[in-house]
Amino acid sequence: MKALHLSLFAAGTLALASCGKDFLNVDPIGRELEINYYQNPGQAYEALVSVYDVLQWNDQTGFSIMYLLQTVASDDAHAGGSDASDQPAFVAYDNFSLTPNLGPQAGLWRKNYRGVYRANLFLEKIQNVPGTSDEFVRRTSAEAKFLRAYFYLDLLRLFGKVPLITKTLSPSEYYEVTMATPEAVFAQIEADLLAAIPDLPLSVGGSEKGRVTQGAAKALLARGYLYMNVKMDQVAQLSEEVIQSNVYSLTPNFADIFTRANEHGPESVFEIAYSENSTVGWEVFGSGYGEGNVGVQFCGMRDFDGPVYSPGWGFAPVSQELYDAMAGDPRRPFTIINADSLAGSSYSPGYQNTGYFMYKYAPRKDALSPDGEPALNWGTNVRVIRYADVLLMAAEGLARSGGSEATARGYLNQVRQRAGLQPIQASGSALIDAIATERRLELATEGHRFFDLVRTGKAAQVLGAKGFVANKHEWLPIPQTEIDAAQGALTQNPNY
Amino acid sequence: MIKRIIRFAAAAVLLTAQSAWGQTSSIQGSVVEAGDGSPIPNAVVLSAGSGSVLGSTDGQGKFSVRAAEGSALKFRAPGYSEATAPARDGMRVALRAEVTELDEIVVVGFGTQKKSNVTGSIAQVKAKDLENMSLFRVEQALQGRTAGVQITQNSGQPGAGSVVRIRGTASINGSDPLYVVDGVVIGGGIDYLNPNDIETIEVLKDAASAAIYGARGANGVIIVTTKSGKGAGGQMNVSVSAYQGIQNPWRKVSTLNATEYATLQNEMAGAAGQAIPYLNPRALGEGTDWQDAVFNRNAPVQSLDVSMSQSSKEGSYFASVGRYRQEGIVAPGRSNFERISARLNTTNQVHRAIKVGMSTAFTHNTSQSVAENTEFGSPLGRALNMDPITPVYETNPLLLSQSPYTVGGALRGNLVRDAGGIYAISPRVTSEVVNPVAALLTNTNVGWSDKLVHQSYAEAKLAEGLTARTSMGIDLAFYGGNGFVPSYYLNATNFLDTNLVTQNFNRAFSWMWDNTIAYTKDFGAHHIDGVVGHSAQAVNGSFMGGSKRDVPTDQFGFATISYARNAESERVYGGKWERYAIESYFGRVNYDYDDRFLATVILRADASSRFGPNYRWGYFPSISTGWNLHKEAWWNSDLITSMKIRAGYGMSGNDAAGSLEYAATISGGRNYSFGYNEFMQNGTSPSQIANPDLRWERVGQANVGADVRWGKYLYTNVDLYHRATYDMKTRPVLPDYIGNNAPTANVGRMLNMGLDLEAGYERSFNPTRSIRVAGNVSFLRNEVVYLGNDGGYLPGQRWGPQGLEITRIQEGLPIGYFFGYLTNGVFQNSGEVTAHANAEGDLLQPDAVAGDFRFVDVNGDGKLNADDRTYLGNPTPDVTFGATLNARWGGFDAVVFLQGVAGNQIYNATRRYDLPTANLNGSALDRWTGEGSTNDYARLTALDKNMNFARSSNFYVEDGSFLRVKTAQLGYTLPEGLAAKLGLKRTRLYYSGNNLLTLTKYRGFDPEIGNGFGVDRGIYPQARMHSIGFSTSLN
Repeated sequence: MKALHLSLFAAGTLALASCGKDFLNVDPIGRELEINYYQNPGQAYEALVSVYDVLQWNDQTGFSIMYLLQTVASDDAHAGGSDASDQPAFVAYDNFSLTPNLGPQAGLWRKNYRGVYRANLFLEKIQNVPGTSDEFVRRTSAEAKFLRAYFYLDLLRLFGKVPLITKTLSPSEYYEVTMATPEAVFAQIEADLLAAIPDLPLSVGGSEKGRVTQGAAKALLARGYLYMNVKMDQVAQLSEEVIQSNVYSLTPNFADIFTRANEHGPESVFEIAYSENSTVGWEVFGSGYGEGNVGVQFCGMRDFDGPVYSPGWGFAPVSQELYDAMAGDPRRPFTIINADSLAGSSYSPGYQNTGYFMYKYAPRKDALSPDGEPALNWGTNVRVIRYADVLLMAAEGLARSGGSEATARGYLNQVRQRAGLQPIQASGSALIDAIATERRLELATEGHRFFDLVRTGKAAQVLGAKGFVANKHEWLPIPQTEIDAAQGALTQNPNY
Repeated sequence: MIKRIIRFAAAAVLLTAQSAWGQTSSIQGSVVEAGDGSPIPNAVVLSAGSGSVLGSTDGQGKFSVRAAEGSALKFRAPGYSEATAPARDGMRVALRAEVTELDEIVVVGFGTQKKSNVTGSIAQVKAKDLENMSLFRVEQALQGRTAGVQITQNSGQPGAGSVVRIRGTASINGSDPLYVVDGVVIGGGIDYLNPNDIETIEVLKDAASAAIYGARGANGVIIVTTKSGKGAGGQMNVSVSAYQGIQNPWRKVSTLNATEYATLQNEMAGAAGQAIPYLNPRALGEGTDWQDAVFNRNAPVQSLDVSMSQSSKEGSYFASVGRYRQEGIVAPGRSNFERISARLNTTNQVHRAIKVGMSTAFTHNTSQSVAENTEFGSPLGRALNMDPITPVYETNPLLLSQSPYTVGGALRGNLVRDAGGIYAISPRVTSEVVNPVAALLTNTNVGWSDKLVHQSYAEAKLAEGLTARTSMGIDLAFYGGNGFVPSYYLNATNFLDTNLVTQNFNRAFSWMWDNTIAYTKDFGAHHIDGVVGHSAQAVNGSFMGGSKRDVPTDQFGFATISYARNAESERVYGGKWERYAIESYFGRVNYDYDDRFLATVILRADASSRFGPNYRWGYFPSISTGWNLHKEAWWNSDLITSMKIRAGYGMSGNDAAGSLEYAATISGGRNYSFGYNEFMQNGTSPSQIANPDLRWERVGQANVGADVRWGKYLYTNVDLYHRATYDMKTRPVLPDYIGNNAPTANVGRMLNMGLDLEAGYERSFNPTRSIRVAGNVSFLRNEVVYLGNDGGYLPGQRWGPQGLEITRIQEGLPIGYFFGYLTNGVFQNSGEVTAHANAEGDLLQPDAVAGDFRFVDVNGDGKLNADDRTYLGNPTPDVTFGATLNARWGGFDAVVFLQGVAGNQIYNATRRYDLPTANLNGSALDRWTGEGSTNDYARLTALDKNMNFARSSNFYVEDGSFLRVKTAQLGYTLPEGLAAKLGLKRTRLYYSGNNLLTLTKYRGFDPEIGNGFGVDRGIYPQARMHSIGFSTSLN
């Protein structure tokens, strides 16, 4: 009996020795846990910045440089590079030899879904951040919605049917996703942008340049309607609202649009900011950490030795067709570098060399990064939505919705006039064609051409010679790695 | 069998009946040993009924007693098991030798157990086995001594550790066993221990044993118990032991001398259509032997150890101090190790029911080490690849007056030089292959550690059979390093313009508190004992370090970060560890019936801070049973004198996870710039998706075994096991649409299966003549079963600047297998090149010519490409074995200890395949030179279009089997009389040789490659050592 008592006593001692609940909880040191984060406006703002950050990614799973890839896919440029084996993804998009395993799709898919995730996370967290003003919540939420719409519009245009995810997924939901139709995806884009517009500022000050404005959201929505070929009246109305806001104007001299000085210039409605203060090296390639625009390095002339330009890698040599299409156009020298005509310089012709190179995003010595690996740290901003684009969208919207052709012509001719060209007097379908032509020439090599051909049904006709097959190459294949990882949740695009 | 039992029962009944009425008469007989029939003197004869002593045997084993004919007599002799037999005149009784070994005590974790009643698989190594073995480190005590425990020394570098694998590699996330020293779980390895302080080492091999350590027992547990004061004599004992040895490399790798090098360089240039670089190779002679230049001949090793101990009824102590110094056989003055250790272990019986004790060890280590096993800058890697034409020192004034020795017309200030002159710079070999001797002078790095391990305990006997114990352990370690890199110029790509001084300082502190209650009770023939307990442990640490550039000195000793200069070049870093905590409840019950039927049940519950709240607690049960057949009454075999069969199954865990690995933490660097002035904004987002389900890896192990003693001298132990790892942590591929990085998850599986055999023969002919032979063999098969990721494999090690993938971890194959192209001989002529085509007639190797390797189109798709890379070999041996032979003859004793492995391969990655001017292994002399010359070694060319050597292929994979005489020792113990005259007790002098002989086909420096999983990039080889030593006890 005594032994029993002692055992009980001892057992009690053991029980007392047991540790408190906190014993096993680790306090993080030098880092925060997601579950404890988003506790003040500063943290919320940093979370918002992380959504913007994805805009500038161009190193995901190879090189996912949107404007460059879309130019290569169009009739405005070839793949280029050193030889036919340089950047197989570019070659495959150029000649439409895309397969589920070959092409730029994996990087573009990942980049945009990372953006969607960060936007979703922000929108979930911002509701419960202490100390935030209503105005802060409204504006940043609107920005996140804009960015989510931006990423989805890219996904929609690149892939057609994609999973529509509007919240962060819990593990039980990972494989429950379904492929949404383009219409369903677009409905979300439209809803996000319409919700965002009233909460966004009309314009932003110097230190905030690059943050989303009402104009950017309206223009993006107009771009979406155009791509979907719906609500042309809305295209016209949204574009005209941007025009009538008097926030934006055409840069007087076309040659100045893409200069360093004109980043966030009067013509810039939405721009992706890159910084030459970025100092990353190859060791972080693929991480999304860099702040530089590697596309600039891509389209430079190989081994270039001469004034103004820095050597590049010779990708996206401009096609003879575009060069010829711009014959006599005063914009040509500010759209295409004729490398063979540059005095006092030399370069190495690469794969598919035409002697013509992209001017707008060319590597200029004055934008060379002082630190870090130069190739990865170009500071050149990408002009995603220019005022000229808005004018042309307004013109197209009016012309295609039965609006005032005179007004439409007026917008078109503003663009032509700035370029130093004669006004156009066309009407009806001739006017619509003239607008399309103007879009190609004004916006050449900025990544619009391919989607314009697809949305107007001209892609097969124009790109057929390059290998484009209708009902297939309008969209990229869903990455095979993604189909494998999704455990049956995804289906491949038609004809791949 | 049944018949025997019936017969026995009948005899017993008869005996009882007879003794009731029998009359006494004279019974004469003999008592002999069951095995060889030799007589047993001094055996006592008793009456089984009354227990009274009737008589005993004489020197010839004969006895004569008075007893009733047929009454039961009992025979008893020390060292033999009792026997009972009916009295009968002229009887002959055979006694079986008592198997003393099985009654030894083994430590089982939170307690001890009679070895004869252990049901798990536990190996034990005792101080006796290690005496005077010239061990550098404690792990060496286990190498080759026990089946299923594979110890591979990382290298021969002084202070280098070992890879310890108990029954194979169970996880891709860490497979090191748990170390428990005097009850304290030790982090960071046990190199602080002085091998002379060790009393026993137990290895808990199967899960049935290791389950008591639950979440950390999956890779096996090594329990070290240090010495304590012994005996009750009350006399102090002082022991001194010391040895001194010299070490040398046991082998040099064959390389080309200058003439051969130049000849083959000419051949390579010729084959590529280039101009011949060396017009007269013969004139170059032998050239420089770079291995001679970097090896350190006759490197000394010294060990001195003094201990005192005393014991009485009131308590005991054991105190020791030791010093061990070793210089390495590579890089004179740059590779060495010193350990100074002190220990005090005490016990005190403070009350008749309360005992307290402690063990305290302090160790100070310092070491200097050179890079090893890397193709980028290890002295031996450089020695193999540096051209033999370049001299060690450049003395030619013409060369010294031009580039690269000069810059701007003047001699470079940072050329590496010493009293011998200016070190030569090779004009031939580039990249990291610089003058290996000069390179050694460009880096001084002294590492140090101070470690204190302490445990105190109190044990109270609460009642008969009931004991409570509490123990508190701490493990405090300070460690760091001081480094200095002077400004130097080794070649165009390896130079430093401003010197660099670095320092780092780390502190780790762990405490653990164990409370246990043990109970033991016999109920008739039933015996039960058990322990329940609670344990908690927490680990904390912090670190800081820094560097400064361009301090105005070139002396390591003088350089310091606090040098009052160049404050702007100062860099500091520092931080704290996130706390690691573990809390456990555990219990074990041992039951036996009459020492015959045995059973053990263990349950442990562990909670670790490394896992999320969903799976913080894990439960690890085990059950094992045994049957001592020889204790059965019917057992009557002279051939098998004892036999135990065992079977068990248990689950243990591996908590190999990083701090907060399960959580999503916030990462920065997601930046974006706004504004005209590119005003950079900090962006943050979660680093990964959280996995609150992250939990232990589990290893389920089934073990069956048998321990058998054959006759008196021979024993065998056999164990068969199946170890399945579940919930192995891998990073599964998640769909990208989820939007963030996948966390690690418990999805993988691994399997290890094997057979462990041990056998020994031990025989004493008389007190001064004995022989002991012990051997063990382990067979092991490892397979990665499932990884749960895309492609079913994980990339492994890479080689060279091009990063050739040379190993992989892949489902269905052994972990870390060698990976690459398969060659199928050398094309002997162009016809063979043309014949190597696919069904369409396309050449598989269009760039090949005669003399190039023929690569196999493994997947048969008619193309030769990366998809044809395949399995080339396995770094894990199929068979591991060891054998020890001990003999004692008069005052002399001898020990030979052999160890080896078989069935594994080594990837010989010592060659810089990317540098055509690098020196080559001597086997290059047997290259292909024309049709029929060889089928094993492709031609040499400076333009290797076929990529004969620039692909990972089986050309680089060699047989890694070896048999090594690890130790051979001859000792002499002074006669007691002589020793006493000198004032000494037992005194022994010895010679010991380590690594005297190694039989292997492997061509590299050493087939024992622990560090690098079988990939040799220029390993630091084990030394051959000759040493002499003594040990003595003083009064």
